[in-house]
Amino acid sequence: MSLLKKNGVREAEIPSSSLADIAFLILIFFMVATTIDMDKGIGIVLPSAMDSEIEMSRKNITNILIDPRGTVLMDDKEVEIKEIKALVETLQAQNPKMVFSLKAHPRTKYRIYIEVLDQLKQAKTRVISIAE
Amino acid sequence: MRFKKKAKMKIAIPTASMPDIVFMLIFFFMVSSVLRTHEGLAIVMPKAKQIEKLESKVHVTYIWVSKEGMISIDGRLFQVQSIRNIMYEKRVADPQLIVSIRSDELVNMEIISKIHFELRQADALAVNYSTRAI
Repeated sequence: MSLLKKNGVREAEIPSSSLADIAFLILIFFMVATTIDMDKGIGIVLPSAMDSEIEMSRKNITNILIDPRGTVLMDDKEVEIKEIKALVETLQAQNPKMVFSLKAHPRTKYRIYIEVLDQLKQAKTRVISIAE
Repeated sequence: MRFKKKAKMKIAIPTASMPDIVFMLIFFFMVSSVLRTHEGLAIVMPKAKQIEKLESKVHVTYIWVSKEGMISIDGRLFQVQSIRNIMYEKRVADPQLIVSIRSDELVNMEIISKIHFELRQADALAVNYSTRAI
């Protein structure tokens, strides 16, 4: 007791020099633990159920049909999926009003449908009609 | 010779505010990280090249479709016919609704077509097919 009195009021401090280190540690933890998983995908806008059917000239429509085996018919000609992009680009250059109508058989796999849709999107197609 | 004298000046970057900056970053990461509330079904998504990012997760609703044909929304299984009512309610609550279809690559187009039809009936027209990047 006598010792304390001699020294008077002792200063008690929490050492704050390592605060930055601790903060960095937490920061790194959060940076590593955070998974910024952005959703990626192919966006489309469906036609409204109230929309009346639009009459179109036959020459402005290219039909793309997909059969259950994954064979793609483009205007009644069999094409490879990889070729679609180039073909669509040529058709669009010839006729900017061209609409691509995509129709898949009920037993077609979703993967093939996405592949074809991806090709159309790669060719910067503006109007894609999804036939039911 | 005069220059030499001046060159001896000590230059220090002030580090006193470093913890503040670091804490600010921590708060940013804490706020921006979203913990997943629910998981969907086990699926393998198809791959695509020309993909776009969904801008915000706030307006997105997921429809999970497994290769067995099961459909899950918000962690619950539903029949195709119920999508109409669920999506209509969601659409009324949030007019900017985007429906993200997370489907297995082996799903038949029949189910997807049915979902399209239901979404059209519900007037939820903005659709995104979730894909993996190649």
